Amino acid sequence: MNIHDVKVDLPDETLREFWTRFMDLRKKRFYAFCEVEVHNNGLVQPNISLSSARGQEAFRILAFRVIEELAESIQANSVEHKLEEMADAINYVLSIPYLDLSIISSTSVLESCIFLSKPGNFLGSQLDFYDLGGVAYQLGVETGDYLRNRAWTKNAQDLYFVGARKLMECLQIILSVLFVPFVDFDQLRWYLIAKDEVLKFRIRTNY
Amino acid sequence: MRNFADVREAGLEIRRDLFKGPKVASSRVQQFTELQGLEAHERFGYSYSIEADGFPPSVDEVVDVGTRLAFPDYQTEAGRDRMRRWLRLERSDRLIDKPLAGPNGLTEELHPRLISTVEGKWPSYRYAERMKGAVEILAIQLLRAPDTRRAYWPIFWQTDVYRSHAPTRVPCSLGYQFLIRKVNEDLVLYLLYYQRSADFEHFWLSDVWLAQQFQSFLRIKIINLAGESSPLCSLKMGSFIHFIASFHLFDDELGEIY
Repeated sequence: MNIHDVKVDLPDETLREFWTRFMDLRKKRFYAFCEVEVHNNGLVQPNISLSSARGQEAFRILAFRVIEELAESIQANSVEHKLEEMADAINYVLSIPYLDLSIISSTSVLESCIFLSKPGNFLGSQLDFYDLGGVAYQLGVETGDYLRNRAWTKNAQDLYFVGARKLMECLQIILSVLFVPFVDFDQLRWYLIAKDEVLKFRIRTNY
Repeated sequence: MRNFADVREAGLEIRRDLFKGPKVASSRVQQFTELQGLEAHERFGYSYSIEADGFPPSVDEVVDVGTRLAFPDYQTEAGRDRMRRWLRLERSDRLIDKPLAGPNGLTEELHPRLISTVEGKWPSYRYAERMKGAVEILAIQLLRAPDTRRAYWPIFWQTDVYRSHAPTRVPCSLGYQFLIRKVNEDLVLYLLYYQRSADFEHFWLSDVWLAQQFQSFLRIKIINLAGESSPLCSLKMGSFIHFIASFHLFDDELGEIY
């Protein structure tokens, strides 16, 4: 079952209406998968402080999932497959705020998505390993430098996460890269809603 | 366990689940090793269920599902016609109480490699033989003890184990277990179908549909024998629950699955 096997209804809606609706869907799916994750002793949970060692580990896991999906997209042969994996990567990026809404509010991500949905940001061109390196750099170095409370150290280097502004900048940069392969906003919208339908199906069928 | 609403969505998603499984070296059918280097994606101990009303009621609709799911045996008109004939014949031979018919050759027509496993002029086993009397006997046992956990019909026999190494025909199905349980106010007949091995692209759809037909025939038999005063006279169909030890998908038949 994938995006081509689900029914996608796209109502007439403004950018703001779409992103507001979609962020709500994203939150629902993220919370639903976190419920599964808690049963598997996974670390990714909503409302987990990004100042804690555990919260920072959860961030690293989501960051790796973004890189994993982007790599899968680059490796895929068909355009449909590439864009489907890209939608997965975007979904993981948009899940990051829900780890700790005191650091990044969903509203600020929503505003970024609206801002980035301008026609010039959609080029319909394929990403390559340089883009992957750029995204990995943003997550691993630019943001990673602020993740100083490590589970394997007895004392935290920073008691509080102080990288909120940098993290928001990184997420914006990464989203702007991930939007590039789509030809326009409508195509991005179609893939995000189709993928959400697939995720709903997976949750219903005990994936 | 995955829980699917119907056969179509089960087929779509299982194909993806198997594709994500690790690759193993594998013979194609019944230990034939002439295709060296063949690999299959395999999931160990896979299980799922399909809702009771999620099955196509007629052979024509099964063939339609097989065509839509892009199974290789259903992609030409000749192939679809062969499947229609085979499914009708197998359902009748396996489940209807009548003198046992001889081999019909259709199985070998569908899977030509099996011709060389015919011993003399007779296949080493057939489902029709091994299921002879199953509907009647299970119906009587379940009427006597509706809550029994022993209503199991074996397809794989001890003698099949002696042929594990050999390029000869042994069943992929281990057996069928039926359980009647009360759900709200209804008595419901569940089928638990156990398989040692299943090739998804070629055998899954027919295996599943014929197993569900077994469940359906058994339910009708129980109702007919129960009598109006018995609570079993309104027995309902329950989910189909499938356990497969080695569920696989051959690498040479796949496109890009995601």
